[in-house]
Amino acid sequence: MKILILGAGQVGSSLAENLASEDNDITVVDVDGRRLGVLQDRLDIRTVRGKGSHPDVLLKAGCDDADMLIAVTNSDETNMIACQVAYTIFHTPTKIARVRSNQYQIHPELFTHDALPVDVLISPEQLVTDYIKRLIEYPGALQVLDFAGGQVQLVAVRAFKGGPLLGHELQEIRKHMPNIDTRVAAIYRKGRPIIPKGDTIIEENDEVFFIVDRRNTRKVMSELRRVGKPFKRIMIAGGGNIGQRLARTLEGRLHVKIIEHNPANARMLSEELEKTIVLLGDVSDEELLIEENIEGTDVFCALTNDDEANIMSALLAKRLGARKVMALINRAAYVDLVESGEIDIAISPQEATIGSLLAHVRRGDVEMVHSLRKGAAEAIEAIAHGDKKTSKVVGRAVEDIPLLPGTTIGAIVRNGEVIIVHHDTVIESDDHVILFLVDKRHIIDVERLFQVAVTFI
Amino acid sequence: MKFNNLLKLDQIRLNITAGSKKKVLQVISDIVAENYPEYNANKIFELLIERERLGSTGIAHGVALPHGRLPDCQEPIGIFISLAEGVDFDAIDQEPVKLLFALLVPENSTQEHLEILARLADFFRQDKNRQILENATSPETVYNLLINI
Repeated sequence: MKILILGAGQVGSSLAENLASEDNDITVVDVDGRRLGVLQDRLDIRTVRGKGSHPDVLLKAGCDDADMLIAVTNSDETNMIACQVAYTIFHTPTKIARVRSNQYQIHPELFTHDALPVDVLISPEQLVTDYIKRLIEYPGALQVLDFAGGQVQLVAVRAFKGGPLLGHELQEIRKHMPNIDTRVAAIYRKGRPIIPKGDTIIEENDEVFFIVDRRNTRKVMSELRRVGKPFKRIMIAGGGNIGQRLARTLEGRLHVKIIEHNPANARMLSEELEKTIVLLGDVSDEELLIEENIEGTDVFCALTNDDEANIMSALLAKRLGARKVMALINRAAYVDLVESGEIDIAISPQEATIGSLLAHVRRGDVEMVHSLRKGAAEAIEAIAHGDKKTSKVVGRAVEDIPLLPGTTIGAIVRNGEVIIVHHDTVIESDDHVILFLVDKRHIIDVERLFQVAVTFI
Repeated sequence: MKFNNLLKLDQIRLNITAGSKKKVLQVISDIVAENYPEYNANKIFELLIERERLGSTGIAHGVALPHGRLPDCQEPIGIFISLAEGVDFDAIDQEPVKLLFALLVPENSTQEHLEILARLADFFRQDKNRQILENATSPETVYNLLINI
């Protein structure tokens, strides 16, 4: 695919890196030549210097042949106008814009073809906020990812003492919970994937990925570990865009405190938020944390825009007795560093964001993609079309669909109903099919599988 | 159905220059709109793109049969173009595409339209047909060959 990325900031750069590694033809546009130079030294991409919304810059960047435009400059307005220019002048098929301001987001009627022709709006801050929110809703989960509008979830849990399934064969889950269906898609043991079979025995510290109807998520989790009490008290370090969104989402149900070091921001937060307690201070101030009862805090989320500050304050909070600590970490190398240490969950904003874009890069009718395990694995929701003649999946039982090892069909959603698949489940047209790929390199085979034949009209 | 019902001489263009799949589909949409002013080129382009998203219409050997259902259209419309240079069409065999037969059919497409596609696929599978089309310099030659599919 020919993809144009506008903006070589944090989001644009990591997108370019992710997409360039996948045989796409990438051009990055930015006003800052130095930034482009840094990117070009690292990646096999083309760069063009200039303002991304200007027609001549877009022309120079090859917009006339581009399949997709991703506008992620730091200006909402530039991003939106770039989509308009791409639509009107170049007829670019897919136009994606980052729009951060809530002022625009609350008016979806702005983003239609006869107004601002943006096909997909992305808000990385909102995606990261939702990601953290789901982790807080499910204490003990390492990852909770939504499919089919949230009806189906892919959950990662570390098997732990107190889980009844520990030390037992996987198939016994049916005996434990006869009325609940789930599909274990992958198990990572000491960091390596093993393909789960009925007789696979779950060991302590296994990282188990299962696909489940959302209504059953908690019950399945409780098979794998003792599920702790729901989180009640949360402390957020950093009152930036994400910290504020998270506080607003949670303040109705949980006790939320937020620490912000900038007095003006802290004042603004205390005006905007209703129940949240806003604390003016440093996120690594030991005395402040103790004074604010860090010991009685269920979750400490370090969400400043500074990786080091997030790591240090999360470590400190853990040491001072916070039950769970999470840190937002931009640098991939840091994510690796903290992964197996004291910090319970390292949140990579790139990983939380890339999936919603990959859904539009994947061939076939793909609804949702989640990138997992630093991009090595992928979960995908694809819609089946056609009939037995024009599709390689429709009208076939799951066991007859040629899948490579490590690729699992976990669930389908048919007319709004969640069906956990078994070997004899037959795929129908318009089914949303949720797959897990231990090895993302096999994605091309899954794409081929879901593409309709030429005789599909 | 006879192919002279869906293809006119004006709907054949040879040796077109277009650098990408996207551009090729735009050229096809423009040719349809030129011949049938009642249809909007952008709308046609969007429906061709939408169909490609579900799966490439590139059959093997440098041939593609892009198609779609066109609202308000009564009779199928065919467009043939050959390209000066092949473009990547994400075809099954990854071969660049040089010959394209586009087909637009009514919204409630029937078995008959499926048969048209199947006949086209059979026709383009034969080496000698592709050879004639690739070397053709006059639209008339192409027209006379295609209406007899």
